[in-house]
Amino acid sequence: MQPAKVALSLILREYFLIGITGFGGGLQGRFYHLAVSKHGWLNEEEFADINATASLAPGGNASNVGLEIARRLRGLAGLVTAYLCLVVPGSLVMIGLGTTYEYYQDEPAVRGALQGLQCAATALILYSATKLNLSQWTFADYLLAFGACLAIFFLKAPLWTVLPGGALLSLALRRWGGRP
Amino acid sequence: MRPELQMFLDIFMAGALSFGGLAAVLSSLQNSLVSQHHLLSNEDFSRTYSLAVGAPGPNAIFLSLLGYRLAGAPGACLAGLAWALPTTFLLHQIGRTGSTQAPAWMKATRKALVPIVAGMLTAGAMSTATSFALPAAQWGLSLSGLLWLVLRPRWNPIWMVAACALIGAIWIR
Repeated sequence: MQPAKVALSLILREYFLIGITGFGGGLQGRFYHLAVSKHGWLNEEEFADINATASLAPGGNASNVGLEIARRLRGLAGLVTAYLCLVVPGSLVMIGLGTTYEYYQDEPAVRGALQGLQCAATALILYSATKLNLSQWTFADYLLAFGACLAIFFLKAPLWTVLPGGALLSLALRRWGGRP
Repeated sequence: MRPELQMFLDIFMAGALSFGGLAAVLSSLQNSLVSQHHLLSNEDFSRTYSLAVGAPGPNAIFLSLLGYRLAGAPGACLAGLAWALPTTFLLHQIGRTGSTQAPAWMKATRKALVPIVAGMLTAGAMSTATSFALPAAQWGLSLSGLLWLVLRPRWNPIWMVAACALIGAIWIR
């Protein structure tokens, strides 16, 4: 299923647009619109497959969907182009914001706004946790989640022990509980 | 070890294990960059991450500012590269195989990781909350923001972000 060749310049333009306007989540919907509705690069089935692939790889799920679309269209060149378009504009904005903040950090309103942003960041992270199919969870899953949080946040255990260890424990519990 | 190299290694490791995205490894990154290697303070770390929700693009862009603070423009590039290399390499490899051809153990493991990722995300949220100036009030604001996102999933989250920043600018002193 090799789709028609899409020009790199078109990928550049479309991803740059998403890179400068894609704020705080909601990126996945943008990529669906781009690839399925707007350009017809992919059909529903291919998009679902891309979604599954994106979740198997590390990195942000939404941006992985976008990157995998670009990779299917133009291989490694498409992937790298898409990555740069998504990350470079935001990084420049970030550095600008950071420098501006340092300049005005004695202003109480600016400090307060940043404290407000910290609340927004906390809310956004918790929101992504609510999207993990909580309805299908067993008691053991909640225990595992609690254990992982405890190990990382309170015990400061390194990631390379918590992640594989947690995965093995979870796999064992699933097998023991007779779940696929 | 030079601080830039240490930062590169810490971010690279987190990137390679970032199932569930950057937010899932946020607390681990804080552990290695702040507690273990003392490259920056807790406040700096969570402030930098919070600024990223006010900028466009994936939240991995927060690493650029983190690197910039540590070592200027080369630091920003290095931090970005440390995240980009493992994540895009693995995505490229898995994408070439295709999800239908991916081995069964990989899919089973990814499924089994879901509760672990949820726990890691909760730890990430607690990390951004470590430098709250008014913990009780700000946890209240965070949970209200969460409720907003859950009840209005179709609205652009940027409005919730803007509302939090505005409330903070007026009331959090």
